[in-house]
Amino acid sequence: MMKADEERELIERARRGEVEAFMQLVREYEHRILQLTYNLTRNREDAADLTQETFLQAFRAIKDFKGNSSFLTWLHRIAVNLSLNFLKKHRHASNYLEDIDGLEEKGRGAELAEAGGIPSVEDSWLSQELRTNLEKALEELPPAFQATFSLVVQEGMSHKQAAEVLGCSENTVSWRMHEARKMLKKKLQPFLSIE
Amino acid sequence: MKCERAQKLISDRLDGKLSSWRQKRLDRHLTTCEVCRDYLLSQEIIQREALKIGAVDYPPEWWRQFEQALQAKLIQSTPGEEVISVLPAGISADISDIKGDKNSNKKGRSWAFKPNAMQAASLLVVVAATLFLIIYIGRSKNEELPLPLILSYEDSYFNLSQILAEDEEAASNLARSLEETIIEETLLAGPEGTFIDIDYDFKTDNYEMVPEILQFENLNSEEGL
Repeated sequence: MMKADEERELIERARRGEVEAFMQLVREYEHRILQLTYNLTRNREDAADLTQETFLQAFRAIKDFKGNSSFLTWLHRIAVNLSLNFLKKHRHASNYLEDIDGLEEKGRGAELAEAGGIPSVEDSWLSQELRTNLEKALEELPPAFQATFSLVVQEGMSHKQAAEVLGCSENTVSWRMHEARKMLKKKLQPFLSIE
Repeated sequence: MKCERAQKLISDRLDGKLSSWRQKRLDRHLTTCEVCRDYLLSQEIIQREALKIGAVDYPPEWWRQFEQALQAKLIQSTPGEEVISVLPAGISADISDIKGDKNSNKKGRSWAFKPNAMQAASLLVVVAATLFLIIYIGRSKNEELPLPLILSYEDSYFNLSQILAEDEEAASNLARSLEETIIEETLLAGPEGTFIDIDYDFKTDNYEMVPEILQFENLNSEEGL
């Protein structure tokens, strides 16, 4: 975990065009940005491209980073906006189907192991079925709702932090979360009733 | 409390955003409502599973290649090199300054407006057309909305309720704001104050008022109240 002073110094050096200083910031935050873009796109290649683009855009705009929010929040805002733009342009059903086919081919266990997650004993077939359909339901949420859900649930942000990233009010975050949950429950009803 | 309201509180609770007195109101509702208990259980399952599907990572070798590729692109690029089209509001890009730094042999771009005769004439036409439209639309609006209707409290209320019925986000924000105002008023009323729990449904224009005696000592302990 990087100290605030160290981060400020790296940002200053990056502003002066020092690539190596910026790369240290990249190494600090690349995993979190990749996680966020993956949560939004559900596609590893797209997530990697969007992560790279996020850092490129951040480097080009770093002179405009005023430090009003944290550097990570600023990166999140760029990543979310890039991802939402990407989703608006490229989202269609076939993307999802390709991804799901890929997962089924590989087997969900292999996918989880590759991702570093080890399935627990109680990770039943029903649970996996629910999770697969949850991924699909998340992808089908309107992009703004998907981004909000991802930031709050998967990134563990408070409503305030998510509002800062999304550039909206806390009330809007709260309302979007409620609506997103209602939509998810509606889509997952058959799988939830089994549980 | 209506189920829709309870389910909104359930969502806030799952996000750790529910104050303790709202939590108590929700708990009271949950003891009597099986539908909302099921809803809470379903949402807890969804939340738990959503956390499991998030994880993605790559081996160190992949990250090394990723960083090398990024570094190569960064070297070719300079901070402030191009307009950032994807930046959200609030992250302004003062491109003219940055371009001035980078291309020191070029003059910084001036944003001063220097119209030629043709542009000035076009501008005049646009201004005249805009003024005409403003006056015309203003008159039309006045014709559509006679003064008694504008001044009528009931009609205004009806118009507002129609707007809110079409805009769920605005309705939700207004409901929350109203509720918080009522709570503040109730707190000001003193320990004998009676809280009126209002559940208003903007879609059906139905509301329910449930008098509820507050546990004042609990409210006092609320953060921010």
